[in-house]
Amino acid sequence: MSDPPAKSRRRKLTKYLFCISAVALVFFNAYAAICKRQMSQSIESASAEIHSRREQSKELGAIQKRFFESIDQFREVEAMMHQIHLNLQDKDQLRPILDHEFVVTNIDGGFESGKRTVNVTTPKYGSHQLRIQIKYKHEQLLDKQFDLVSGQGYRVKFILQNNNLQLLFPGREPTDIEVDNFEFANRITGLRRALTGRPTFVSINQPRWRLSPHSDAAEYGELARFSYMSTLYELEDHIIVRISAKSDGPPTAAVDDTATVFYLTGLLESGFEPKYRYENGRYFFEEETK
Amino acid sequence: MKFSVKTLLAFTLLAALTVNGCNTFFQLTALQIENSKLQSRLSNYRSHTVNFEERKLLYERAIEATAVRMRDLNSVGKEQAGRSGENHE
Repeated sequence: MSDPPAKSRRRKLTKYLFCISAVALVFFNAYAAICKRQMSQSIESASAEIHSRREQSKELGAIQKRFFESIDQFREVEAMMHQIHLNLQDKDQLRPILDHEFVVTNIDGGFESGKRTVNVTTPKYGSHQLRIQIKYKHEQLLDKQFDLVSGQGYRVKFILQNNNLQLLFPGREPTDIEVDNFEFANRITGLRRALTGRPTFVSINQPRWRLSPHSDAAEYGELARFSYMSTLYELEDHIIVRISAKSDGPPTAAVDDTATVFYLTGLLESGFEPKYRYENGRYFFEEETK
Repeated sequence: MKFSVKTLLAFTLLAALTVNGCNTFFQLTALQIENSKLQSRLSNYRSHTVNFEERKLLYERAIEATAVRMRDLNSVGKEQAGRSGENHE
């Protein structure tokens, strides 16, 4: 049996312990409830934000889709315009150059490969002496083609038939011209670069319809150069037509002189000054035909 | 062993408080887990929709600019077609 004071102390201690536990539990419960409430609020706000962000994401996705659709549509229209542009090139804009008869005379050394001097006669500028380089890939074939006219002047016409550039000799069947397209086109690009005086972004591999016609010239406001640029574009378009029409086979019989004559004649027809000099003092024709 | 009513009441109160505390604690843990999941999803959405207004405006402007370019192209096309028709005539 324990004594009464000890029993009383134990009871007191139990009461204290009970009170402390009860208070601690009450505080813990209160704290947990507060935490729970805060957490619920945080979850609620996060859910609301997620909902609005999801809407934004959907909206952004939709607008991106619209953007890409509009770009695709624009490209389609642009490609369609390119077709129209090419058709016009064939029918209208190339008309001054196509179906126009001009004369090539006095090719010193005949039509053998190498550098030659050619006299080109145009109605507007009369006779001009040009230095050209003849590079045949199939010499025998071309010799046969030109044997009737060697040493004499001959009249030729460039015609466009079924999207093929053809050289028409009087009294003979039209002959397909197999120009070394890439070399020719690159030369034109180089010339355009020289004319605009700054590097051009145009390359032969770039789809033609991506270019803004005459943008270089227009941007520089050099009206005098505009007609030259115009001719270059026309020629370039023409070459593109030929590339698309003739790209299935390997380049055969590169009639480089014909290409040069065709090219320079086109320039002369459009009013190009034959004595145009580059900044380095070299003549345009000299530079372009060396 | 006999307990007084007072003692029984006290024990019952303590037990109730303990059970309630444990329950709240478990709920809190579950909420924390859910919250962390939501926060991770939210940060993902936030990264996807960063500068939303600005980007939306840019896209709208780009669409508008494309439409203008397309209108220009169409008018050029009509002009060219008209000119071509005249030439053919």
